[in-house]
Amino acid sequence: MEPTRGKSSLSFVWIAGLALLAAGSAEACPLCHSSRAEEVRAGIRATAQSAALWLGLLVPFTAAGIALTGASRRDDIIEEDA
Amino acid sequence: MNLGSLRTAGIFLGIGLGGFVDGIVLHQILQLHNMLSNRLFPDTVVNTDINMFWDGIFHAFTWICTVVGLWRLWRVAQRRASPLNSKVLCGSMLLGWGLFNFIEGIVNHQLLGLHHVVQRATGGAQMFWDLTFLASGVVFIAAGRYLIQRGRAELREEARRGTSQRARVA
Repeated sequence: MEPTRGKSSLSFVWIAGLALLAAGSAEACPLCHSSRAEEVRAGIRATAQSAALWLGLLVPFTAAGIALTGASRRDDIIEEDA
Repeated sequence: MNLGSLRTAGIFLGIGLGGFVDGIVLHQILQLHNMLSNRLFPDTVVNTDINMFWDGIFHAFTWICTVVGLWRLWRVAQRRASPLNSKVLCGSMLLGWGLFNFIEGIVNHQLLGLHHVVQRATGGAQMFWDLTFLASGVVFIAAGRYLIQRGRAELREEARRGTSQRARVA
């Protein structure tokens, strides 16, 4: 019984903590509650339509990932010596 | 023995943690290198907010890379036959970090012109910092490759002598 009760108490702390964090973020979020909220949201929407921005975000991660395929090839250090 | 998995884990961790160094040190502490600063110079609160939003998206990608790297490293650690070597891991991390810096510098600074390392600098100074960033990528790649070679040599020697710790545990 004891471990189960401890587990549910821990879950409650997690859920309460996350709910508090979400509520706090929503309250503090400049995208929702600030005098400039509409302007910022419009700016984000406008910039999100820029293909260059998405290329700039995705290409470095993707290209480095492609380079990984070379690095993750089989690298048998013992067989090389044989 | 296969080193590919350890190298993959290290490279993912290098991309992720290198991205965090970039985001924490350059974007936040020094307030440089913001994602869209060449398009929307962060000299107003609205422009700063928009740049901060896209910096956050960049951080989300680096977080994903870090989690993937940790997951891959955990898989390597679970497999007793997979060799663990600090030099190979650190070298792979440097390789991933350097590769990412180099590609990011070429694509975002030179080709797309989304931002520069020091946006407020002008002319030659701006180019100087962009080239320094690219050079850091090349140095990290070279240092990473060197460390990986050292680690491989160590593992080869251990395998020859039959003194691998992982082999003994197994």
